[in-house]
Formats: sequence, structure tokens, C-alpha cells
Amino acid sequence: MEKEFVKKETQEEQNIELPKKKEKKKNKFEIENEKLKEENQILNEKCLRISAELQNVKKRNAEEISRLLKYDGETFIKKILPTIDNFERAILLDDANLEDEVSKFLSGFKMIYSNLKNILEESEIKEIPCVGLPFDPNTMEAVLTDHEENMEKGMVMEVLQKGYTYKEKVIRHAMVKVND
Amino acid sequence: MGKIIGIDLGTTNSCVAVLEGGEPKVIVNDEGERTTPSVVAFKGEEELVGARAKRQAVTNVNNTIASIKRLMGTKEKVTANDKKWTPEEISAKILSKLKKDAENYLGEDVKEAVITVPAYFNDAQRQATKNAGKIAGLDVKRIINEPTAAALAYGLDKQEKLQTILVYDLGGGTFDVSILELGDGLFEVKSTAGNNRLGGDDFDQRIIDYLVSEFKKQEGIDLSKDKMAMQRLKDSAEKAKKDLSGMAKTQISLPFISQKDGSPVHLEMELSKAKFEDLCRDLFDSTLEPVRKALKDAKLKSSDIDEVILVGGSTRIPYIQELVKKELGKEPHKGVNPDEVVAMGAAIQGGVLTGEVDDLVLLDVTPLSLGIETLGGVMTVLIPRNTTIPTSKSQVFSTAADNQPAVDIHVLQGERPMAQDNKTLGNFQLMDIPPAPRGIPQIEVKFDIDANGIVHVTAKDLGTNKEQTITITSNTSLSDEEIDKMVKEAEQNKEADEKRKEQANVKNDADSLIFATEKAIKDLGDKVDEKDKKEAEEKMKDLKESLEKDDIEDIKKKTESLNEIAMKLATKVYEQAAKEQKPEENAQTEKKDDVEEANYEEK
Repeated sequence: MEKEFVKKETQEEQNIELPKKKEKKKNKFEIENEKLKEENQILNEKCLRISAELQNVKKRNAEEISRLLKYDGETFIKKILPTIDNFERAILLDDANLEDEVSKFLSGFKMIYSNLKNILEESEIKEIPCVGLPFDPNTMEAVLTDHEENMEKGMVMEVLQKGYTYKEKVIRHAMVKVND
Repeated sequence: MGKIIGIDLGTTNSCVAVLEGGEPKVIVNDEGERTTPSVVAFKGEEELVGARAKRQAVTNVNNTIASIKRLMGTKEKVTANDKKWTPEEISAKILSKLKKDAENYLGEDVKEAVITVPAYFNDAQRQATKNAGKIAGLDVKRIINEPTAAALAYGLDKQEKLQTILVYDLGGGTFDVSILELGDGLFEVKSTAGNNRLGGDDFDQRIIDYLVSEFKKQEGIDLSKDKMAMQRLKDSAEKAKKDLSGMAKTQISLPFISQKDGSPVHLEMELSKAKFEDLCRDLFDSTLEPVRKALKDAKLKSSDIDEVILVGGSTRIPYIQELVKKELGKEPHKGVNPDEVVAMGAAIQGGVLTGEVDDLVLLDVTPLSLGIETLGGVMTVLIPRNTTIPTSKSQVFSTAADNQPAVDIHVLQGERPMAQDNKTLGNFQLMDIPPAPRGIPQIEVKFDIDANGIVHVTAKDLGTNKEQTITITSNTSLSDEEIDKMVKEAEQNKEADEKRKEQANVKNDADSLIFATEKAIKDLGDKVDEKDKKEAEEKMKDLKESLEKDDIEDIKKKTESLNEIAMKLATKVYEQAAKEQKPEENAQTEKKDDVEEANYEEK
């Protein structure tokens, strides 16, 4: 209320002071007013844009963090995989003759290996099934081709290096030999 | 208005980025990777792009297309799926995939892009790139040179004077040198040179060859005939190369790599950085020739170059960085991800075109932490360093003594934990605090920094709403060197400072305990056991003496000792309170819990 009163007074004052220039003066105010309105609109727009961008960035950040958390430890698991391969390579050498020392030693190895495998499965790290299935570039990498009459073309003949998924994500593609 | 994405359409790999909050951000693809192989494959009706296409390549050689960039702008066509494709059409498939990945990330349609091309691309090649964008459903707002994009990513366009920039781009399979002149928003390519068949893959191959020959010498086995062994060697070689960018040596161990007379043979070798450099020295050194040629063509000497930028993953190799530095006598710009700078620069160009860059207000950060002094001479930080301004932050504190009539607000700037080591910005008092026990009054301290770095500090007694303010304008008067010095000092004195802070905390705890015990005795009055009271009083006296002597270990010991009897008394107080069931007192205790533990020192 008080503000309005003051405003009126100043206007009146100006009217008294410059009665002839009333039209022009009003125009000047109008121009000024329009300019300010325009500026205000631009600023409002900018402010909205920045706020929207901030919200979007926040949203994407939150999504990224939840994705990162979901696949927490992925880098570490990836580094462990070659060790598991090596366990398998060692076990493959067993001739299953329990009499000799190597086989006895390897049976202990097998136990350690299956412990490790259990831990992986509990953590939702699974082997990608390949042999006898059609080659799938989403989960496999073809490193070799061969030809086998009795097999359909494009089927996986052999796994050269096992692939793994962590939850739904492929963390290592299986290296396979494909029938051509 | 949608976003304009920036695309680095590479020979071996491509990358897409977008400006986000004024900063370029690389978009990860649907497989979670930051770069996408520039490979396209056709498999029946299915079209594969990126890593998927690369992984199936050996099963589908005739219908898999890689390095299409080398054909851009030519009339040559590639055949796949019994159809002839123009290079534009194949490139468009890569661009479509990048567009889709960007749309997935942004959650909105993407219609416009800035695409980069090598500086030596002619008009036909540029036009072909633009057409590829069009086929992919992208309005290509601008085609910019890869080295220009790199310069943009490093903000080199913001310099006022005309500058000459050399961009050294060593990627996975190509090497480019470009010399640019830029200033006043204008870019001019002065010369280009390079070798389009040299890159990171060649260095990996050298390591593989070395490992194969060493293994042959040691075990007499030729691994090069064993495809699986070679695959394992390839992975290890690449990893070793990456390791050697940060380490002096690395271990390559591939157990069960082969068999000899029915027994397993393992490969176990150490590769030193020096050996790796030996293996690849001729390749590394060969990059200098194009650098010299580019200088010569631009009619410049190496001393005429103002800035040097390293681009491409292979520039992470320390030998390369040294080589360039030595040749040009300048410390080169190198980012954390040299394989992403081109896409990032393209995204910045996109931001310039949408006006996002112009709208950008450059916001300052506080160079040093701001806070106040609290009990025991400790600095309590309210606004940590590197906080973007304008900002404000408030925290509630309380008094350190019963009936304390005023609090001193000592405003500090610096990184040291103890108040006396930091810079004093100002001092003021909030007076007329109504008499109240220690810890009861709630004093809110608010720091407010405006965009100009001017700090307003307000202290307000939440009980009476009385407040006092100080405005500090001298905040910005510190020079960069002084700020650096203060940060460094804080690092150097970290251990000693922490010890002193811990000592202050020990003393504060002792002080609080004495206060609490005295209060408990007073509250209990005659209900307290005379023996307990006497014991407590004696121990308090001991602790007070110890505090005066400033013997920290002794204070700790005596605090513990007093604590035992204090607990006993406290239990009694609570029992008493429960019996009497005084709701007001409970409310008071709760209120106390809200208050920060830090107390003002009584002055």
C-alpha cells in the first residue's frame, strides 16, 4: 500500500513538472518497460533452462551411480577371471589316475577351484553357455572357424576361453570356434 | 531446442560426447564402453555395428566392413550381403548407432551433430561425411577438423593472441600431425602430415613378436602356430603396454600356454619399460619425420609453436611424450583420456552452436576453506575449499560455559585444523545472550558468499533472534601463490596438525566431563552418596590440575578415571529423572541433541 502511494506521488510530481512532455515521457517509460519485460523474459527462460539442465544432470548422475553400484566390483572380477582360466588349464591335465602324485595334488586343486566357482555363482557371475549353440556376437567372440559336416553352419564347436556374465552384463565375451 | 552431439568418426574407433552443464561428457554405448569400434557387419537381415560386428568378423569376413573412413569421398563401393554400399552408407550405420546411444543416454531425440574429420580431408571427403550424417538422420551442423576439436577441448580458443598449435595424434591405427593457427575464434590449418598405417596395434605386435621369439629360445616351442596361445599373448601384450605407461616393469605370466612331451609349459617373463622402448624405438622415432615435415610445410621452426597437444591413446606412452617434448621444446597438453578429446571438442562446438556455451556463466570457486574458531582453538570449516560460489551454509553452535553472555566469532580462512595457523578474516561478538547453562543456547552461524567472493557472516541467537553480521571483502586479496602456499603448508603439516587437533579434542572432552559431573552432583543434591561425591570431586581436582599442566597422556588417563564415577552419577540422575518424570527437562535434553557439539570458547 505504502509503495503504491509513493509511486503515484512521483508520477504526479513528474506530471506537474513536465506537463507538455507527458506523451513522450510515457513513451520512454513504456519503451523502458518493454525492454525490461523482454530482458526479464530472457532471464526467466535462462533460469528455467539452467534449472532443467541441473535436474537432468542430477537424474542422469543418479542413474549412472545406481548402474555403477549394481555392477560394483566388476573391474576386480574381470581381473580374477584369468586366474580361474589357469585353474581350469591345470585341472585339464589330470589323467584321473588317483595313484600318482600329480593326480592327488590336482584333486586338491579341483576342490579349491570348485570353492572359487561357488563364490562366483553366489555373486551372480555365470559362465556363458556356448558349445552346440548358435554363435551370438552379443556374448561371444569368434576367433576361429572350421568345417564339420555333421553340424549346422554358424554353431559353436569349441570354447577356447570361457565367457562370463555378471548379473545381466557380459563382463567377458567367450572366445569360440565356429562351424563354417 | 535439443542438444547437438559431437562425434569423432574414427578409422578404428568412434566416440560421441555431449555438452552437459557446460562440460563435455563422453557417452557410454549400450555395452558400457566409451568408444565404439568403427566396424559394420551384415548377417542375413541383421545389421551389426561396433564391438558386436568386430566379434563376429572371422565368421563373416565377406560381410564385415572395417576402416571405411579410408574410402570416404571416393567412388569405390564395398560389397556386403550381395549389395553394393557407398562409404557414406556404411559410415551412416556407425553414426546411427552413436546417435541411438546418445538418445538412450539423454532420454530425448537427437537430430543435430557436429562431426570431426582429419585436417587433410578434401571437399569431397567432407561432403561424404556430411552425407553420411544425413543418411543417419542427423542434421550435420558443422564439420570440423579433428585437431581443431582437440584445441577446443583444451580451451585454447579462449586465448586472446594469435597462436600456432601443433597437434600430434597417434591413435590405434593412424598417425596425424597438424599445425593450426588460431585466434579470435578463427582456425586455419597451416599444414598436415602423418602415416596412416601406424598406431598402437603396431606396438602390441612388437611385444608379441618378442615374446614368441624369447619363448622359442627358452622352450623350443613356436607359439605363433597356436591360435589360442596367440590370442592370450595379444591380450597380455596390450595389457603390458598399458602397464608400462605407469610402471618401470611388468610381469607377463601365462601358465599352461603350451605342452611339451605331455607336460605343461608356462610362459613367465618380465618386460621392462626400457625393453619395450627398445622394441618400438624405430616406430616411435619415425613419428618425428612427419612432425618435421609439417613444420617445414608451414614454413615454421619448432620455436614458433606456441602450444602442443597430444591426442590418441598411444600418446599415453611416456617415451612418446618425452620425444615430442624434446623435439618441440614444449610441455605438451595431455588429458587423462587422449582418445576422447576430439569428441569432446566436437561437443563443445555443438554447445557453441546451440548457444549453451555463451549462456555459460563462469563460476568461481572458493580457493580456501572458510570457517570459525571453536572450543580449544580448533577451526570448524563451514565452506570447504573448491566450493562453487555463490553459496551459503549455516550451522548451529552453542556456548562453552554456564551463563556465557557473549560469543566471539573468529572468521578464518585456510586449510590447517588449528585456528591459529589460519588467516583471520574478521572478528565480531554476538552479545546479550540470556543466562543459560552451557550447551543450551543455540547460535546459528551463517556464511554467505556472493558471486564476487564477498563473504557475509551472520551469527544469530535462535532464542532471542538477535543477530550480528560482518562483511568481509578482503577474501579475494590473496594471490594465487599465497593460496598455493597455504594449501601446501597444510599438506606438509598434516600429521603434526592432526596431533594437535586430537590434543585439543582430548582437552575438550575432559572439560565437558568435568562440567557434566559438576552438574550431576548439583542436580542430585543430597541424594548423592557422600563417598561417590568425594571421589568425584577428588578426581575432578586431579583432572583440572592435569589440564593446567597440559600433559595430554595424563589428561586422557584421568578423564577415563573420572568417567567411571561420572557414569555412576549419571545413572543416578537418570533414575531420579525417571522417578520424577519431568517432561520439561526431557524436552530440554532433546533440544540439546540437535546442537552441534562444537562449543565456543569462553572469552
